[in-house]
Amino acid sequence: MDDFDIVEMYWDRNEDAIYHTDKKYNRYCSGIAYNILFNAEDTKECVNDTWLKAWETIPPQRPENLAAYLGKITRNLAINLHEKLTALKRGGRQTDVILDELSEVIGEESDVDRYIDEKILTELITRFLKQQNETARKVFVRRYWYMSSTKEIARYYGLTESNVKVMLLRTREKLREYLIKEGYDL
Amino acid sequence: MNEPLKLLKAINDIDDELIMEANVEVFPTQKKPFWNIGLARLVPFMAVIVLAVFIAVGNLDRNPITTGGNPVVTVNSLSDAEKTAGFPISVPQKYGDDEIFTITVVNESVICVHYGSEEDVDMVIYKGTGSEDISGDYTVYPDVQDIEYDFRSIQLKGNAGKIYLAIWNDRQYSFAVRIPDGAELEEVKAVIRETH
Repeated sequence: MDDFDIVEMYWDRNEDAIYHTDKKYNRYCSGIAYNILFNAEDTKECVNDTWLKAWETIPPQRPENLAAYLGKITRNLAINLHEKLTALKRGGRQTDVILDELSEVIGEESDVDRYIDEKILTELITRFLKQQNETARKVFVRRYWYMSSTKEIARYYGLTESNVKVMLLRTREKLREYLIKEGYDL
Repeated sequence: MNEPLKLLKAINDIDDELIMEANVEVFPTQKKPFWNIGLARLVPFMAVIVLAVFIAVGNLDRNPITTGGNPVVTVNSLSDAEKTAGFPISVPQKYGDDEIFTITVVNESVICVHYGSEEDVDMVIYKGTGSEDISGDYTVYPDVQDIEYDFRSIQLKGNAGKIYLAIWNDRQYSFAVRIPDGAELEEVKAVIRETH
């Protein structure tokens, strides 16, 4: 079913919208959640919560890109769930490794939220990414949005794993410089 | 909230186009139905169709026989196959000790990756658009089993404990793995896991 029609069903408060969303996007959203949670049961819970959230937010939202809209909900829920699950004990999951990598861009002690809110930070990251070359941009988004492993990214884009790591390191350094240049207090 | 986590959350809301651009599986973009394109666009569109039909009819006598190009194109690399077919593919580098020996694209819509050698093909992986069985293997196998693996519903076909064919759909793509000599379930799963 076309996304346009699925969104219309949400607006009509037709519960079949959830069935069609699940049918079309279960694998896509499960893939995103699984990369963060690494657990089939948590992934299932997260994807079901995504459908609930979609039902609660459409309307008033009318997403132009349903895949990205659902993906963002899933990713956000999965990160929150991961945060909750690992509040007591942090393990060696991909998400923890990614958080360690990102601490190079913004240190743990930063009081960044006093100066800039999350939306502005998102805007800065978006602008920064649009200035990067296509491969660097895709690799960065694949790593930090889709939370893919460096090995997977290497395979997806025909690069070596060390190419990917070096590319990510450089992009993170450039992002840090960009944020400083834009007046972001790190 | 710790700051790297804040950054990770801020990345969540980057532009949709950046997210979809990095989606390796090239998720289908939102398209309005044909009949929703609007009258202003529909009229020139119809005019082009009428003109094309007119020209085609006019040419019928002059070109009574038309021949198409070879539907099977051999390419040098997976990236060439992706360019020809217009969609990405990920496959294992090796199958056991066998390496990829040839890659073909059929009708610009199905990528076929062959492992082994010209004389002894040990495995072929197919990826194409649509949901039809693209394996080209119409053998009626006595054992047919459906499994859920790696978030995909896979149909396995085989005989006497060996699997000869695995087929599945993932979003808008159809996949098939054909193993002429048969393989164990775990071997097939390893291939499926690396095939996207």
